[in-house]
Amino acid sequence: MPKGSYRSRLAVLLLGLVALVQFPTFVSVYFATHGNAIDQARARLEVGARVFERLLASRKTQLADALGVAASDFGFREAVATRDGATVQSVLINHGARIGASFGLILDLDGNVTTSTSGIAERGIRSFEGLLAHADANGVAGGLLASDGEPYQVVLVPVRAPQRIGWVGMGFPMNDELARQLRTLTRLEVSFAARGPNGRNVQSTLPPPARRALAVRLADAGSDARPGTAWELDGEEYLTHVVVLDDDATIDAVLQIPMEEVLEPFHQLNSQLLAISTLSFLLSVGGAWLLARGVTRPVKQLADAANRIERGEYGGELDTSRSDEFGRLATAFNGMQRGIAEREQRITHLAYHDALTDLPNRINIERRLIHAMEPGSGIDRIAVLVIDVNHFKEINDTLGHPIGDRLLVNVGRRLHDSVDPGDVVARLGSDEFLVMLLNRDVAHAQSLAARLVRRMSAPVLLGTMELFPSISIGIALFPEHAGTAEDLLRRADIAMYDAKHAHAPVHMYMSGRDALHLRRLSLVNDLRRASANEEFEVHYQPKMDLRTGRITAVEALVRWRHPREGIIPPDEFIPLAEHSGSVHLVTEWMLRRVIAQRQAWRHAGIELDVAINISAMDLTSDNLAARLQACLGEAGADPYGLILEVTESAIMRDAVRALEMMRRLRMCGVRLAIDDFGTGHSSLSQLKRMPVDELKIDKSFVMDMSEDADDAVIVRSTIELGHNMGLKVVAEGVDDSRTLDLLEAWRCDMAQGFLISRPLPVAELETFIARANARTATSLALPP
Amino acid sequence: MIGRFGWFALIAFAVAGRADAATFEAIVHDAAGVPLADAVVSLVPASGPVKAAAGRKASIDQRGLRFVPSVLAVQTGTEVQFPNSDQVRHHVYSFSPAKTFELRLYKDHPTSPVVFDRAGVATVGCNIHDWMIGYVVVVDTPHFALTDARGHARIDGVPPGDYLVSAWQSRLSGAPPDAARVSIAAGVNAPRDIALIVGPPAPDPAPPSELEQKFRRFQKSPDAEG
Repeated sequence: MPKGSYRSRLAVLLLGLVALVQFPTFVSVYFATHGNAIDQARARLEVGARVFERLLASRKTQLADALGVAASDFGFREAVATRDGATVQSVLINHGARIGASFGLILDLDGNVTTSTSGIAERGIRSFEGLLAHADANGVAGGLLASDGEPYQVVLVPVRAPQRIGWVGMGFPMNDELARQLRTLTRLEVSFAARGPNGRNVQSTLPPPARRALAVRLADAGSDARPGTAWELDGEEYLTHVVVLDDDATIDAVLQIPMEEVLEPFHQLNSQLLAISTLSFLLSVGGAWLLARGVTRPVKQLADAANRIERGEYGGELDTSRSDEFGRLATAFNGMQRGIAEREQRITHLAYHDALTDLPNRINIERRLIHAMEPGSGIDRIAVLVIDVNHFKEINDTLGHPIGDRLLVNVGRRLHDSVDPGDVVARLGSDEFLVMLLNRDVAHAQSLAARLVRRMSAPVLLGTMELFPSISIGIALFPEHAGTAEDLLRRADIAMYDAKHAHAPVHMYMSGRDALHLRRLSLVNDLRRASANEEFEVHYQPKMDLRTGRITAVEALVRWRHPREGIIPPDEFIPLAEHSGSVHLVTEWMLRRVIAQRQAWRHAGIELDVAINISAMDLTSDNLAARLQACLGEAGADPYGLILEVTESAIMRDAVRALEMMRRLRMCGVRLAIDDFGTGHSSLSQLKRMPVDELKIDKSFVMDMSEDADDAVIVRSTIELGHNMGLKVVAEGVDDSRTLDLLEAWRCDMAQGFLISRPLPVAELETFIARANARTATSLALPP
Repeated sequence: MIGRFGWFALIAFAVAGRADAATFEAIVHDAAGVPLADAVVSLVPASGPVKAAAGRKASIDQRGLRFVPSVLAVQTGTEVQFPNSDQVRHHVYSFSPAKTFELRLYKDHPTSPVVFDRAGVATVGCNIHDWMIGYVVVVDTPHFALTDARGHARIDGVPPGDYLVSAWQSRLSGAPPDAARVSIAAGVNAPRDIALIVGPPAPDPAPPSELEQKFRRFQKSPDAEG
């Protein structure tokens, strides 16, 4: 029982109550019985004293009778009557001896001693007057006399001859022998104490030391004592009753009961009571312990159960058979335990399963993989297939989330139905699924992937709508491709993206791809600091006015001089910036730089139109126009001669918002150009609504048009289309003079390409323009 | 006891009417004037004591465990018989100085009478019946008498002359009064008043115990049948 526990406190409380009841009982019984024993002894002492007095009185009568008989003897009477002194004395001795007297004497009618046994005078008995007066009145008399300090019982009877002629008296000793006899009758300790010349002479049944103590006590304190008080004699207590035997208070009878004898039965009773009390207390201890246990055991069980639940063990049920409060508590406890277990199971399920498809989620799969990769798990090889639904975003955007969700559920179910039992299908997030194969070889994984692609191509009927989902699958293998779950998943992901890029349904991870992927990730990271660190630089590719042959415009192209990787072309980092959402940093940096450069050129007297590429993300962000205004404002520049190039595909991603943004940009005073025109699936009606000034024909058409008749048709038609719509037309990718000639012939407005110049740093550009425009001026002056 | 047998009298007497003889009368009472019965009044001639002639006899019977009479006055020298009329034996004795004698247990008549030859009072008892007390009052004169229940004594035939008058009663306490001298004329003298200092009346000297009464009834019943 731990100290301070409820159980021990309860037990202590119960025991305390028992003790509280028992102790006063014990004490009151103790004192009651003690007092009762004393009272009984006092009563006994009182009765004994009366008996004692009666005994003494009856002894007196007996002695008087005996003496009367002796005094009736004729010879005795004759001797007395004839006053024959010697004879009388011998008769007194003789007759006294018969009845056990110590001394005898003859008194005449006037009370004078006429004859006595020897030594009467020496015994200090001076007067019998008191006795004699009594005897005169009653015929006989008995009394007590102290003779020489020794107590005697004296009787007087008349001597008749035949009339009374005198008295004969005899003294009987009150000695130890008499005390013993009286003790046998009264059951009291009997002492006679006579006042003598040398203090008290005590005849007694007491042992000698107590007897001496009694003598001292009587001498010191006298005989005045309340009946029944306790005297201590020689270390022993006695209940004492003093009887004054004679009128002169010369002889006391001391009647006593030893306290030891009084308390003997009390002690017995007391020890029995103590034994009973102890026994009952011990029983109470047992009872209290049992009771406390009875109360605290269910509490302890509940506490144990609560601890168990805290540890997450929901197994054990509490015993609910009790009908009391503990039973109800146990029932409630069991219910609570089941509730917690159910909820925890549900939470755990939610934590490890996808809410939409109820398939295992990424965390679940990671755990399973980690577990499977542990040595001794029995798993030697793992194949992971990461499956992505192609164009899911478009489906979601165009058809709405409910349809998208139903599609995902359908895909999940079909994946699940297509794998073998034991193979795990999971949903990693948005439109990404996963199949985990344990202990399967590569061939199996590849055939399963092929089967999945085939199965998925079957149409899905969602309400009235029929969808034809397609999927891309990336496969990664353990242990061939990765040693950890994280790597394995990432590499399968990379394989999946590779498949997408390659427009192939299935792609097995290729070693090294991950390094490229990681480089991209680190570039994305570095990109955020690039603008602040002035790692970007701008090259300008000249555009030639085909009417004049002069360089009148340039396209600003960003380059990233990475401190570790060197020059990184925009083809590589712009998509990264777009994906990571940091492209606006690049755009903003470009705007500032180009605006500043244009200002500088103006001050130098160089008039050039400058074009800047705007990404699709810039176009859909709401604040592009505001940022542009801010940049112009800061530089104190006007927007004229600034051209923003937007790719056709970027416009088409969200045509409505793109057009809105383009209108707003145009209101800022800049010109807009459609870049890569011909690749973006825009319709003519859309083109008609676009607030643009220029079309830039995609270089894929321009580069081959001198060889390819179709491309030539497209380019020529586009030029005409643009002109008809009132737009300037620029051709990119002009690499040979034949193309330039054709474009010039078709009255294309401007040309851009390596034939004219590669992108150039500012200084080179300025030199190039100066030289080129000078030559043009010459050639114009001197026609070729 | 000592001095108990002395005389005491406050005496007034009358002389008899006749010249040759006189009658002496006395009233004996205690200090309170209560008459005393069985008191002995005697007149001893002033000329000297007079002894009785030899052969003078008297007797005290023992009847019903009592001396009858319980007081007997005799002249000095009288032989007193102690006949026993009871069925039981008696053991008559006296330790008195006037006459000490003892008649061992006997029935009917003792072998010889007791001669009381000294004046005085002999207290007579029976050794086996303590309550039996009798008095033999021995006087040195033939002139004596016992008072009746009214305390009245009358002595006839007293020759006129001087006498010493004395009185005694069993309850007399202390020393008896000295004898008083009186002159007795012939004829009837005026009654003389004698006061005696006495003790309280003795309890009935012969209370036959219950045992004795039973015993006696036992004794009588055979007689009744015979």
